[in-house]
Amino acid sequence: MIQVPFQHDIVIVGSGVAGVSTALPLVNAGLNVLMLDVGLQPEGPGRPDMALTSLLWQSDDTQWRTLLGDDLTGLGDVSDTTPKLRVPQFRYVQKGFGDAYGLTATGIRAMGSLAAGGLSKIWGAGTFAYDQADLTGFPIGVEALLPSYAAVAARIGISGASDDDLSSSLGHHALLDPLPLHPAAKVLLGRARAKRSRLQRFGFTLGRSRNAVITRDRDGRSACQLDKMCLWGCPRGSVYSADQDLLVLRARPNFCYRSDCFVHAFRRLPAGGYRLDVGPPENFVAVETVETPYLVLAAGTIGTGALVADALDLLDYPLPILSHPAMAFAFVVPIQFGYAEQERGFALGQLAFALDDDDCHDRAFGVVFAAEGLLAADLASRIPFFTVPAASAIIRALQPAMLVANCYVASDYADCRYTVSRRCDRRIVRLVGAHTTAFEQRFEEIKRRVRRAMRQLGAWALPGGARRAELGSDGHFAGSVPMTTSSDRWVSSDASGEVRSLRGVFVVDGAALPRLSGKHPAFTIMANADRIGRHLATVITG
Amino acid sequence: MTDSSLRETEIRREMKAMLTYVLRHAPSEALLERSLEALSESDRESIGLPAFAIASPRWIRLLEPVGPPRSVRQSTLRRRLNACSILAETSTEGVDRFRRRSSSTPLMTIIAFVPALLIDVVLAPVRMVCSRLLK
Repeated sequence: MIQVPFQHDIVIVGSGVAGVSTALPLVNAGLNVLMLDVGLQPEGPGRPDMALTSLLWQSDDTQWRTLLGDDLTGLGDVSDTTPKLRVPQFRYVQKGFGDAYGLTATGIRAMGSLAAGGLSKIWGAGTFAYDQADLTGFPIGVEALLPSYAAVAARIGISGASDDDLSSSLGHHALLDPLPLHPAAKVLLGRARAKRSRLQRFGFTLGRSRNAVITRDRDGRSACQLDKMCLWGCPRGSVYSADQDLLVLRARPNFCYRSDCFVHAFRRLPAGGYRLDVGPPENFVAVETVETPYLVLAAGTIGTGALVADALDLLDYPLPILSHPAMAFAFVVPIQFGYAEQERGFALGQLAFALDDDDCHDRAFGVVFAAEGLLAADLASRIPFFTVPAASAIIRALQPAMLVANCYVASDYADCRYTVSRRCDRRIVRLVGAHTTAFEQRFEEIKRRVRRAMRQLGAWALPGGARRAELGSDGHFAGSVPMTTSSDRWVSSDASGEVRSLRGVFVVDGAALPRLSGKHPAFTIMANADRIGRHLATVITG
Repeated sequence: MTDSSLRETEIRREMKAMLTYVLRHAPSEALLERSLEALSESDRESIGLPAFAIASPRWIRLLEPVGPPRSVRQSTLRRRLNACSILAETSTEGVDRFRRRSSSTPLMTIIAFVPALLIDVVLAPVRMVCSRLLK
């Protein structure tokens, strides 16, 4: 179609889960792929390969260096930050992103990454396939995604179970053996089976979580050692992150990876194809150009949206973007009172639950974690009313019996916009977000139902343990260049991810999702990127 | 003594009192130094803890606000106490204050925290009054 002697068949911007998921089918099809990425790397040594319990009780008094960092920035602002965002080992993941895009945010926390592997370095590893109901608003049906879900699951390795009440709505791909449950989570799951019909009255379904965590050695990655330190990273590579696939790609002769390359902007070439202005992120000016017939954008929802809006000259227009409204709960399982802290365990999702409203139109989705993987002082700081000695005594006694849950509702409950502007030749991205008025009522309803369901399962809600999360605090952004069936939006892409008005430019990351259901979107982003990559390989190779 | 060294001495005394309050014993010099390092340059102001709280840190309990902090000093106190708690938990001398490695009976588990809880409930009216000292 385009007959220009380009050096590469295709250029991919970004090395996160979407970038590598698109690159793999393209490289497998024999195409020459160039990936441009800033590719920030960890700044210091990773954490030691030992269990949290052993680390906390080690006698040389150096545990704080691992848990908080040499400069103690891991302390952060305890009151309002998700713990994983304060972990010193991952400070580099979000470094420079805001400055590179000139980002300001109001009512929402903006998040993105210039790191190799992107935000997958700090994700929760929850992998839940969208079913047909979750795909409401998508221009594709679930059957279009099924082969890609299967391919991604086989590639990244997902542990979980396919025989519980929730599994039918989480996809039917291959699974590795499930991770062992924390005793408190085991109690919940056992009771959920026994009280299935009663729970259905609340629209509540509980099952094992599915995690991109391997439970047996494979592909140079080691099986999870249950050290409870998931929050501080995984030195054995048991938890999937996109940089693992990046290593695989870099070993392929037809794949070229260039780091320290921030794409400032791209423009259409008169003869076809695109010219990318590339340079270090901190300079704000391009130092070289790269030309390509096909361009794949996987720079993260905010980055991709900014690049597309800029290329379309849609400056100073507020454009829609999606964020996942979230809430958090804390419970104790009294039957576990008196148990000692587990020496070994898994700190990411143990269980998952779905909560339907009365009409079964609106499904909230949550994941349950064992609280032992968190710092007790962090939990104590969130207990209202009580003083530090009382709160720490409560947590010390209850933490082994404690579970925390997050819960998401569809993106329809948030109203968010991004605006791209230029000031003195510098791009500025403004993000504004707020919960809709309906969210408060939905939050209260979910809180009430989850508490009732958990009571049925023998778990008590902790006073003050239910709270709304700040919008964007979990990084679930989407929809800045959504796939739609019609072209009635200023910025959109078709079902194949190709941006309308920018033929040859494909959006493959969260930006392409037109709606977020209650489920965590990462698995669907990977599957959609894989699907678009396969389609693109067919288009280019003819 | 210059103003800045006076200020440093004051902050040092306050952080020592807060760590003592969290740990229920005097902190090691290393932990105290760490807590001072944790204070950013923009946050190196003394809260102005009353003398009784410096002399006997257990009375900081009376200064902790019952609800959300209502003044800058109250929120600084809460923020620093949270930081002291995390520093204590991540130190050899304080981890036992926050985490439990041994099992006990359910009754003992409840007994372990109920007294502290009751003290807070009983002292709540006093806290409401005393925390105003940090207005």
